[in-house]
Amino acid sequence: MSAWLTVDPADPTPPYEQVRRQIADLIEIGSLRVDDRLPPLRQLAGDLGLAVGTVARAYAELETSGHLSSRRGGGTRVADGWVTRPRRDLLAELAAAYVDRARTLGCADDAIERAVVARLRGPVGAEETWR
Amino acid sequence: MGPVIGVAVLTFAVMVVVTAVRHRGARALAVTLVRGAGVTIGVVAAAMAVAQPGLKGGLSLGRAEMLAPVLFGGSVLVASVIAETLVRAPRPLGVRHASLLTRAIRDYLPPRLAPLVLLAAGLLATLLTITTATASPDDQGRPGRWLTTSCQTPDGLLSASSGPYPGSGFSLPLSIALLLCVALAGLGLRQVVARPRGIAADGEAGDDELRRASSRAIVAGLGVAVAGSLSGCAAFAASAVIRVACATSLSVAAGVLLALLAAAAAVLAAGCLALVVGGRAA
Repeated sequence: MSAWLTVDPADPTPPYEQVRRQIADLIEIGSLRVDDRLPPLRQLAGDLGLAVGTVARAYAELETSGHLSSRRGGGTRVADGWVTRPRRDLLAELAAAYVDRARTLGCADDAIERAVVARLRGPVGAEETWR
Repeated sequence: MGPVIGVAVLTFAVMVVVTAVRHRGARALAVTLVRGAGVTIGVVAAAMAVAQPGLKGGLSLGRAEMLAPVLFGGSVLVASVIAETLVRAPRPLGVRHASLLTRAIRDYLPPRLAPLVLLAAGLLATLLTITTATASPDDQGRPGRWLTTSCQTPDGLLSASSGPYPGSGFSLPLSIALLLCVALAGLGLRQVVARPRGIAADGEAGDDELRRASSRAIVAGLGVAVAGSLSGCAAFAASAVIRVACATSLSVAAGVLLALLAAAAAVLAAGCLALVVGGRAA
C-alpha cells in the first residue's frame, strides 16, 4: 500500500471531506484493500497539517458508510465486503459530474474539452482558456 | 567531584561548538543543547549521589554507587526524549500530502543497537533475579544486601558474608527506575514516529532518516541506563562472589565471568553515550 492523500487549503471543500472522499475512492477502486491498516489519527493529521478532530471526523464518516472499521488495539482498517469497481468507472463519474456542471454554466462542449486539456497541462493554462 | 563536573561541562561545550559548526540550524542547536544538558546533569547527579555526605544516609552501603549509572542514564534518556519533542515541523501553507503508510516504532529502531540494548536488559533482569534470590541480610538485618555462604573447615562450619551485593535492597529500587526508563523510552519513540513530516529539508526520505537518528538517540539513552546499571551490578556481584571467604573455584570462575560482563556492559554504555553525544541532531 503506497497511497497518498492530498489536502488543498484553497479548495472550498472542507478538509475532512477531502480526506473522506479520497480514502473512499482509494477503497472503491481497490488501491486500499480489505484489512489494510490506515495510519493513526495523530500521524495522518500531523502529516497533513490538520487538527486531529478533522481526520477523526473523516474516519468516523467512513466507518458509518462501511468503508472502514476500527477495533480497540487493532487500529482502523479497510472494512470487509467492499466490491471494488474499475478505476475507469470512477473516472467516468467524475467526468460526468464535471461536464454536467460546466454545461449548467452554459459552456460549449469544445470549451469544456479545452479546459480539461489545459488543466492537464497546468492550472495557469486552465485560467487562460476562460479568458 | 570537581574534575568530573568539569569534564561534563567541557563535553557539553564541545557538543555545542561542534553542532554549531556542523549543522547551522535552530533544531540541531536545540537538540544538542538539551542532550548536552542531560549528560551534564546526569554526571552531576551521579557524582553527587556517590560523593555527597548528605545523601549517603539514604543511599548507603554501596546503594549510591550501584544506582549512580541509572541516575546518569536516566538523565541522558530524559534529555534525549525531550530533545526529540522540542522542535516541531513548520505547518505547511500550501497543498499538503501524506502517505497512508502506517509508521511503526520497529521500522525506525537501530538494527544493531536495539538488539544489544535488549540483550543487556535481558542479562540485567537475569542477573538481578539471581542476585535477589541468593542475597541475604547484612549485619544489621537489612534484607538483600550481602552474599552469605557457608563452608566446612577443620574448625567447624564457617559462615562468611561479603557485600555490597545486588540483592533486593538494590534490585528493587533499580528495577523501578529502569522500568520508568523503559516506559519513557517507549513514549519518546512513539512521539518520534508520530512526529509530523516536514522537519528535514529534503522531504520524506530526509524525515525518515531524521526519525531513525532520533530513535537511535533514544535507544542509546536507554542503553546508557541499562548497560551502565548492568555494569555496576555485575561488578559488585563479581567483587562479592570473589571476595567471600568460602569462595570455591566455581564461584571464583563465576566472579570472573561477572567481571567480564561488567567490562562488556561498560563498553556498551560508553558506546551508547558516544551515540547520544555525537549522534546526528538534524
